[in-house]
Amino acid sequence: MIVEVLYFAEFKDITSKEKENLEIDENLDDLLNLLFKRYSSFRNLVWDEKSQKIHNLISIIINNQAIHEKDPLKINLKDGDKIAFLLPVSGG
Amino acid sequence: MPSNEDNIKSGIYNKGEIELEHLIESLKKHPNISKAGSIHTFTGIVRDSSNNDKVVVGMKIDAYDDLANASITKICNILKQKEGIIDVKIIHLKGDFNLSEDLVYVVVASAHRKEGFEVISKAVEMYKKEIAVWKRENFSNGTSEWIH
Repeated sequence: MIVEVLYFAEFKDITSKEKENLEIDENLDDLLNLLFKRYSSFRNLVWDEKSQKIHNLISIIINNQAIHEKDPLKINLKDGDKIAFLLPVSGG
Repeated sequence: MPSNEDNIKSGIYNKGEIELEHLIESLKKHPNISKAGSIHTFTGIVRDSSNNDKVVVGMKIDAYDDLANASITKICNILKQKEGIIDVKIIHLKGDFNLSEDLVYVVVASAHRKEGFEVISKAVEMYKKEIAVWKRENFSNGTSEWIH
């Protein structure tokens, strides 16, 4: 399936993109593994090495909705889903 | 251009797309503006120092427009329900900014000044915490940092 990943702030800097379409097998874990391979700094921003989980500062957004699953890596994605990983906001 | 429309909607705009005077003009066309006794404005601008005292020479603002617009609309709708509030508008600009350039406008029309001051303060606190906007400070030594 093809999903669209949106990049903001640091994520835009490290990918040099606003968004891109990526082909993945099934779930959020597949997507993250692909992103970690493509962009070495992506893992540093998203992954908490101590807990071996997505860092709790990261918000996961799918189709403009925040996700609050206990184990987001198992979330199954659908073709055409739009996904974003967000760091805490800082309005001007 | 949005600045020429009668009713400027709250939300995310590109730098230069809207100016404060256009927002006030828009607010004055509200159907209930005759009930207002005051218009309060807040303008967020680029400061020359960071919270940890680094010298700031510029700023970049990035936004997730869909999420930020939804949050801004929600904040304005909540605050408009308060007694004596005629209208609330929040405009957050995005792009690359120099020192002292405008980043944010919050405008509140209220029947009396007391509730206007309270609501504009509340609006600023809410947008700072709740909308999907990020700022990157550019420092005098050539480095930069996203602020969280």
